[in-house]
Amino acid sequence: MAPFLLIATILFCLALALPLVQLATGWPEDAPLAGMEAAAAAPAWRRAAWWQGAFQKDFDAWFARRVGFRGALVRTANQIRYALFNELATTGGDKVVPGRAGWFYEKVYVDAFRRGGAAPESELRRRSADVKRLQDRLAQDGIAFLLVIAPSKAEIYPEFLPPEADVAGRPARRSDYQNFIEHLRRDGVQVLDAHRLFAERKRAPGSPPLFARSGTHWNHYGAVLVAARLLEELARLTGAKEPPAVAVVGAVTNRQIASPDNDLGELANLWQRRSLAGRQVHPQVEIRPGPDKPAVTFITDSFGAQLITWLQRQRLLARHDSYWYNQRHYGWPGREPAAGSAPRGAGPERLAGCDAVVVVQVEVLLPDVGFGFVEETLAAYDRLDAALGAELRTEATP
Amino acid sequence: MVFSSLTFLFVFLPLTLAAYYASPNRGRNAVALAASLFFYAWGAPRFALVLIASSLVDYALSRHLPAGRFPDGRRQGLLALATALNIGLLLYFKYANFFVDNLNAWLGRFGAEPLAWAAVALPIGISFFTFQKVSYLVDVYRGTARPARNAGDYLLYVALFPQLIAGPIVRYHDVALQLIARDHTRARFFTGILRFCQGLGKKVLVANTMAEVADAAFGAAPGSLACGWAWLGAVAYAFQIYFDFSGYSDMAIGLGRMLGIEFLENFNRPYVSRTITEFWRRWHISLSNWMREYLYIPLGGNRHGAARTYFNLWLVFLVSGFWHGAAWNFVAWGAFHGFFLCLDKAFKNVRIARAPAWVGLPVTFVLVLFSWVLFRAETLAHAVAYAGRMLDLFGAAPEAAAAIEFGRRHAATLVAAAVLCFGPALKPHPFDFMRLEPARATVGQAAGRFAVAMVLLVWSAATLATSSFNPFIYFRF
Repeated sequence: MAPFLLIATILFCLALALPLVQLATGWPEDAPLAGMEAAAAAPAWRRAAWWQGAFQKDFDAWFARRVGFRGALVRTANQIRYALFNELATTGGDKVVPGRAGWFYEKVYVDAFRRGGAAPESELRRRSADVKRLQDRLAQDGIAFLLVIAPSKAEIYPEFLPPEADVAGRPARRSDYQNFIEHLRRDGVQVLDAHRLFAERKRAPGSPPLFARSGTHWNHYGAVLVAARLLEELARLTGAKEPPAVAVVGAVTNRQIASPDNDLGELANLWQRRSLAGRQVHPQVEIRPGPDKPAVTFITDSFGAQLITWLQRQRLLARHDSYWYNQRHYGWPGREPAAGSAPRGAGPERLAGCDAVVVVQVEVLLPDVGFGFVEETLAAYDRLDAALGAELRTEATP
Repeated sequence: MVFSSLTFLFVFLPLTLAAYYASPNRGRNAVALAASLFFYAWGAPRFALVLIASSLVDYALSRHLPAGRFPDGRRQGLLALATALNIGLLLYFKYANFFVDNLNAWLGRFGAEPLAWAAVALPIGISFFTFQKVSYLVDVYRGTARPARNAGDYLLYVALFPQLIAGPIVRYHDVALQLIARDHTRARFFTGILRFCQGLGKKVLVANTMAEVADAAFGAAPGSLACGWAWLGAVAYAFQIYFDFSGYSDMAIGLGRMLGIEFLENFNRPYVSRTITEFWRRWHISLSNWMREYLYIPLGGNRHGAARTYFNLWLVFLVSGFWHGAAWNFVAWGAFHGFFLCLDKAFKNVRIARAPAWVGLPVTFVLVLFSWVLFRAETLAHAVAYAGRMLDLFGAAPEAAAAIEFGRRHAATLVAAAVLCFGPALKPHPFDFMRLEPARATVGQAAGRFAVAMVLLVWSAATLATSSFNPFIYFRF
């Protein structure tokens, strides 16, 4: 017994000491964690801070973020809880919700599904009218406008939601999307309704999945379906004679993950990683090149990423400017897409030379179309028109 | 610093054990004392000075307390002075705010100006170490223990980190000899590991999970709670407080063993009790022992007739309630227990204990549940309203019901906690499973328990590590 007791004691002491050793030396390497965190500042020892207990608090917070094997510990806790209870110990700021059959959802979509519509009727009416006014004003400058409504995974695949999402009660609740689309149609706003497109596709027999099991957004296949339809709509709205066109003629499944189709799986921070994503669906496409490629300004949320990346990779756009959440600017070509910034409130000048403005927005973020873009651009046009009107009046005065 | 923190587990504990066992025998008390003072100062640097200064005064006075050095009257006076100093500190730090708040409430009723008063901060663990200090003074006075060899030994008794901030309340005569000389055996260290990991698991995996349910229930407006949720919240709190407190005691006992010191048990499956009297023999045993030895018996115990016995009992529990917290609901909690203890005593010939366990156990547990409502509620009014929801068995469900998250993890933990609390018939009981005597065990038995302990350690540490991890999916936008 004595040798065993000695071995057990050594093992226990090693288990306590190794995290400190790992923190100090970086050895052995820890399992990395997915997700973004603000950096933890190392506490600075000062006598006054010690006596007030501030140093100790800072140290505890810093050490909790830097403890050796933190990645392994977090993944272990998540894996245990996922395996036993189908939940995660850390949910990335309450962002990842495990559903049934290995499906993951971002929490904001589950909450919206459970809550139903929250926007008052007057707001829906006002915002729809504003979008129509902008669409008309852009048309005066020869710019087409299109609103792409991206579907929520929870709405398209509610059958995999966890029980607390109250799937049975969903028909009794109308979502903001359901209420807003009626206004948009009534006002004549040009909409590519990907929610409806996906709902129809899903009902079609033998249709492949349109969302990745462990992804937030439409999957590679779904994104290309929308891209094909988007090119059709843009050709129609801009009157292009020989536009490029894409036809999705089939699908292949394999284990290759197209970014970001496993973003939730990564953020779940489990030991099992690729197996979460399962088999992926990729489109088989026929591309008909055309010289009349559109130049597009995108105002988009994260659903635009895969869509725009694919269109750009296939060289189906003459150029594009993408404003993420109407704030951060990526431009192509001329330079590699890189983060820049466009101050909010930029006027119509940022639309110069583009054939179309496309707002890509997931349904749960409606009715705030364009994240302020609509209101800002309308106001800028109003200022511009007022100045032009004043100029004309001055010229007309003898 | 608390045991269930990453700083304690992976910085303080390994460094302390390394320094302790790297020291020669004669230096180990000094290492343990330095570590203990650092441990206390980590959470409350200024109050460490209060702890040290008051302990040095105790030590100086205690030198004159043993019989024969001074006349009894003078010894009594010194004991009264030393005890009053300690109780005075406790009253000031723990109860001054309470007294002033109540006084101001009364003054307000008569239209008088309230007293200007800056709230006093509470030194962590003062309730526990004050009782230990009183225990030392009385033991030395009574002659049940000799004065400490030196101030360091006494300070170590008061401040020894395993029991410093949440007990068990160690009576001086129980550890006096161990402070002078103790055995550091592999077997003792090994059982300390098992016990520590068991306690950590109880705290992190069970108590913290039950706290999520209890906090949601007690955090909701009582009017928004359906009867069933109110009961669930009370049961969750009953399990939370047991697994939290007994887990902490397990960790303290385990850490004590790692340092070669044996502390007495503090819990013995209290929820299988068939009477409130039995409950108090099983719950927070070190407090019950202290109360009996240093308060109930000096008050006369049961030696002065029935009426005085009931009074003494009730008074002890009032004090016990007040010791737990400076608020009226704690006083009510003590009075509640005191009342049922008196009932137990008064009707001992027909007491529920004579009834079969299936009657006595649930009745006692339900009484304890109601007492926990008093204990957990923010105020006495909140407790009454909450208990009212529990008793509203046939009332209509509230219109705007509070949303309490109760998922599979909560349900599974609740069931596991119930099995551990009410399943003493399990052989071996899981808690006994971890109480191994290496001298009588085979290597296989010890290895099995060690494996369980390591799983609990890693699982608990992993759970603690997750609390600091709250990332975002995308920062790039």
